[in-house]
Amino acid sequence: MNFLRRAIKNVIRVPSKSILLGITFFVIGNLVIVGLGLTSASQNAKILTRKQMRAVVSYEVDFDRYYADGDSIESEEERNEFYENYPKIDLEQNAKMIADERVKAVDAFYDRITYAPDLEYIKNPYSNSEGIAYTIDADGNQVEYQMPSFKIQANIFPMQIALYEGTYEIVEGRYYTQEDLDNENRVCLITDELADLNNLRIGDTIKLCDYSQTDLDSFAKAGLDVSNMDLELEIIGIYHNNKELDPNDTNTQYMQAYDVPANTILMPSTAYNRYNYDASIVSNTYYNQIYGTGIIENPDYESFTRVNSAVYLLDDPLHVDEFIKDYEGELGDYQILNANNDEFNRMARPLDSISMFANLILLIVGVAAVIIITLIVALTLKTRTYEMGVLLSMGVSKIKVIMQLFVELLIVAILGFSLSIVSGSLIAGKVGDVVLDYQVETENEYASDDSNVIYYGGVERYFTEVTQEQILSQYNVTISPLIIAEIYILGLGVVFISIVIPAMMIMRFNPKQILLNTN
Amino acid sequence: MSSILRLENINYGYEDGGYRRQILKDLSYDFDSGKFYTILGPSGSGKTTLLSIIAGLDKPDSGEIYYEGENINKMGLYKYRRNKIGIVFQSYNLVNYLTGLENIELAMTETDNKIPKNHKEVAYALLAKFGIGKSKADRLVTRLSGGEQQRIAIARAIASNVDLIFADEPTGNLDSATEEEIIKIFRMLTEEFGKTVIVVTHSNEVSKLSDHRVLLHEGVLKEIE
Ligand SMILES: Nc1ncnc2c1ncn2[C@@H]1O[C@H](COP(=O)(O)OP(=O)(O)OP(=O)(O)O)[C@@H](O)[C@H]1O
Ligand SMILES: [Mg+2]
Repeated sequence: MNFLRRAIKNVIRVPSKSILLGITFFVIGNLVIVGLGLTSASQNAKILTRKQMRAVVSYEVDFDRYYADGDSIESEEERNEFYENYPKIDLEQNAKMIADERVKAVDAFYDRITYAPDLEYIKNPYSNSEGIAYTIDADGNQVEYQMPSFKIQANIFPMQIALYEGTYEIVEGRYYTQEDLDNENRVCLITDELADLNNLRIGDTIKLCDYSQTDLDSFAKAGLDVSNMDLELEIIGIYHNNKELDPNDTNTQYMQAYDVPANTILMPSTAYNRYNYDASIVSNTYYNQIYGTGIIENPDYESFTRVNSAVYLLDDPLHVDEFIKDYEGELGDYQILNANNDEFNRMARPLDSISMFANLILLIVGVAAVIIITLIVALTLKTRTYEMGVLLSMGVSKIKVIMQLFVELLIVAILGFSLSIVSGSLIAGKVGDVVLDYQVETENEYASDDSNVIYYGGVERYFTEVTQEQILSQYNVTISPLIIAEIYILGLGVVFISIVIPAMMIMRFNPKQILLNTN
Repeated sequence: MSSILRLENINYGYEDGGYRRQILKDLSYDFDSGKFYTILGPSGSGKTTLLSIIAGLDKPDSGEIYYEGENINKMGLYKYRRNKIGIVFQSYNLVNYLTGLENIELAMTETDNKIPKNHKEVAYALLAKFGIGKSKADRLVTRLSGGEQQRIAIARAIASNVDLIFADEPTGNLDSATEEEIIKIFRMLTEEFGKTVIVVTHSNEVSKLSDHRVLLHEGVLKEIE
């Protein structure tokens, strides 16, 4: 008749106490399951939605805040000074984050439109404009202006998001490497369509120019050397651009040739920067001649390597928050790492409210459980002083007496919790639906409708747009084995804490008392 | 005659409203093995206090107790209670959610003494010896009469294979007919089982049957006659 068997006998033969405790555990179990179920469903819904989103973080200047701060400056002088120190992203910081192993691809490119007089371009099949505009030359005459037909994408990283995600597919050859970037190699990739049209192969050279023939003529007339104004690039790769013009988009018919995806030429940013710098010196000299020396200062090379923002594609959408947390502290003024979290968080707000509500339930239930069970055990212990005395007078150690009490509680707790898993799962599902409906309703009532996100034309949309319906549709209360394990662990915790006071009562019990209080 | 329990200069007192009351004063006594002792004395003289001290339920302010020459404090009071003695109370004090048999088994499991492996049979036999048949042995103890419960309590006291049995007014709650039966059992414990029995009692009937009648008076034990 060891303490385990005694505990079992006690549970069976003192049914009133066992049932009372059992019901308590059962009720607690149900509440805990509802709480845990709601919380985990909220978390799951967020995780599932996140997984569907692109793992994109953009390093950019927080212009909203910059302008807001600027506008709030009272003195005009100070305000102007504030606006002169335009915030920029930090290239060293950028380089550091690029080196992070979670970063799989980076889009930080110089997106420039350019001429290539020797090349045929792919025409926009939906457009009827000729690509000719008019401009005023230095002498004040209206001259015909030829629009550039090509677009250069010069990236600072040997992998760009479109290529990583398969929008660009290498057909032949290769993408440029870090070595190409480091050595400012004048290499490029052109599309298969462009290669076919111009009969170009890997190893051939193409000639691009950022300046129109009209400009070049003006420079030459002014006696400037225009021999370095051409950007000669060796073709190292031919890729297919899966992006196509959308005929249903009303903007498509106004699009110029350079907007045609097949006319995009990829090259390392460093080579482009060098070219751009050299060419700009010629052009600046020309304009200084015309408008008077010193009007345009020759900028330093540094300013040509500047990017305004960088977009990182990470290996896993679930790493986004962690990535931001890791680097957020290192950023300078007005620099932010944006993962479109505000939008996501705003839409996930009903879920967060549910989580909070559920955690509150858990906390209250936990505390109430400990108090109620402590009270029940302490009260039943009062009626068991005889038994304590008998056991102690027989030399049974107090530890064993406490263990027996613990096992008694544990048996009842396991029974109560096990039963509650069955009913709790059903309740949690129902409560989940009701609470979600309620939350969405109240949230929408109080939330100002700022869901209209404005996208600027031409800006690549990196962030996956998710709707609230999408997130909420992922909300599904299921009681996983993990939750069941959590319930038992929590129950064990409650039993442990609840036994503390009764255990102290037992430890203080003096066995002599059994002799003194007869009856 | 060998001594089973030896008390040396036991003192016990307590503070009561700034006034110190000494219950046991330099009490020394030898209990011989295999004898039936009764301790008598007026109410409030300290009999229960003495019993709780010699049964290892309480500690004296000073003085030593030796069980077969071994200091029970050194032995450890829990061990002493578990392996050397059995206690019978006035109010029986059985574990009330267990049957009579299970109460006996409880004593058998908790002791470190050598007990025959077949607990159940031994327990049934022991109870039968004290007039508790199988059907009553299997009943919850709360469904038995006071006399029956006390028999079980006595059986439990010796079930752990100990040589020294204490009892505090074991017949206090029983009618005279039942009292007589219980006294016979105590006699049987000494005569048949060779146990040493120390019983605190108010009853003349009980003390008449004992080998030694000891009076607790003014804090010391004195044998009568
Ligand atoms: N620790 C203590 N604190 C206060 N009073 C105590 C303490 N221990 C014993 N007493 C008191 O000492 C006296 C002796 O008590 P005890 O129970 O030993 O007497 P008793 O001889 O058994 O009496 P009875 O025959 O009525 O059972 C009582 O008045 C009791 O209340
Ligand atoms: Mg007494």
